[in-house]
Amino acid sequence: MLFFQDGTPFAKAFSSYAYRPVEEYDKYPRIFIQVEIEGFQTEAFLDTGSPYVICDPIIAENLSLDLTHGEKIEKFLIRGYTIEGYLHRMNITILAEGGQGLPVDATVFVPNLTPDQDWGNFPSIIGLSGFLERIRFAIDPIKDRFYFGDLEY
Amino acid sequence: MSLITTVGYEDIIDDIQEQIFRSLSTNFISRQERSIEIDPFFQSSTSIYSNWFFYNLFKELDMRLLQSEFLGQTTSDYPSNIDDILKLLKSSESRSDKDIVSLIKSINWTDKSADDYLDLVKIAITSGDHIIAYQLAVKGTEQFPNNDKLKNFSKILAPPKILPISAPAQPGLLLNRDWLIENQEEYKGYWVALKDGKLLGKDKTLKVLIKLIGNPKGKGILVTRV
Repeated sequence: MLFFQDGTPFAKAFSSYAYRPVEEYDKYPRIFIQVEIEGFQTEAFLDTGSPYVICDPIIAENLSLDLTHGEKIEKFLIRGYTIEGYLHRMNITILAEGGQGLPVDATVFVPNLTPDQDWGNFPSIIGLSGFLERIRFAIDPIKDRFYFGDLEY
Repeated sequence: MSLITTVGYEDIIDDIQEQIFRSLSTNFISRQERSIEIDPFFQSSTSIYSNWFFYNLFKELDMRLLQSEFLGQTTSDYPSNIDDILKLLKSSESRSDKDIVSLIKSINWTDKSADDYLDLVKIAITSGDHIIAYQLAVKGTEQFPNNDKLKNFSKILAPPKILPISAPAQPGLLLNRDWLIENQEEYKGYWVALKDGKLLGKDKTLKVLIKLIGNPKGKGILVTRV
């Protein structure tokens, strides 16, 4: 694990990450970490430009969500597209290979697509201000490892 | 992202709103005033208020009329309408730029109704002012403690919270990662379901894969696209 100079831990857990483009035509790779969204294990990529966690709508269909618990947003901007969806509060866990996984209660946007819209194969997204901002994290690009921990120690 | 959508009146309204906002925003706050230090809340509220201003303006202009007027037209068809709206704005707006700045500065948030707060929260989210959206939801909830929508927004938009739940390490993750590295060329473009490094199913779409393997929620099955 990682430690500060005084010996206190910076991160108490780690997992391997994948480094690949989001879609075939993307030029630049992204960091994909393994997470559990309300118990559904998937890979989500880190996007510091995204304010919230964005949940793939197909995954959301399998979470038994009660839409009435969410709040409808008519216009939400994702990568240049304005779409409708619902904001929810969900339990997202960063899964750990070593140490303890980190469960986070976070804001999640679930797209609600119209019949003429297609989410395609776009993965879920882990955003900065609604998620990563309360987590210590570090990247080891040699070992492709994502170190993480909470701010409480 | 392969989001495909038709250009409807909402897109056109968005475009008009953006163009009007661009053309007027430089007048709202003069260069001199922008160069001085303005607190972040004021800056964000200025942006939100401007959006809110246009939101109400469009309400006044009768959205249905705009809808019927613009529906089915391409963006190249409407520049003259933007000019018309600008003229309308200017003619109905007798205040000077300075007055508008003063007006924005003097916004009394406490005289807003619960619906106003809800509108503002949504506009803040749409315009990317997420922290302000949360602050507005909290302020609105303080003022209207019995409003369920505002209460729910306050809860949903609250900062992320680490939960005191034990989530033990999962050795299977590394096995899944190894499988993905070893098989990435063969399964490129496929959605796969993996458990402890073993392939449970694959398909070109997530929807079909879930039909094949059943709902993987709570079963420790990793579902991802290679």
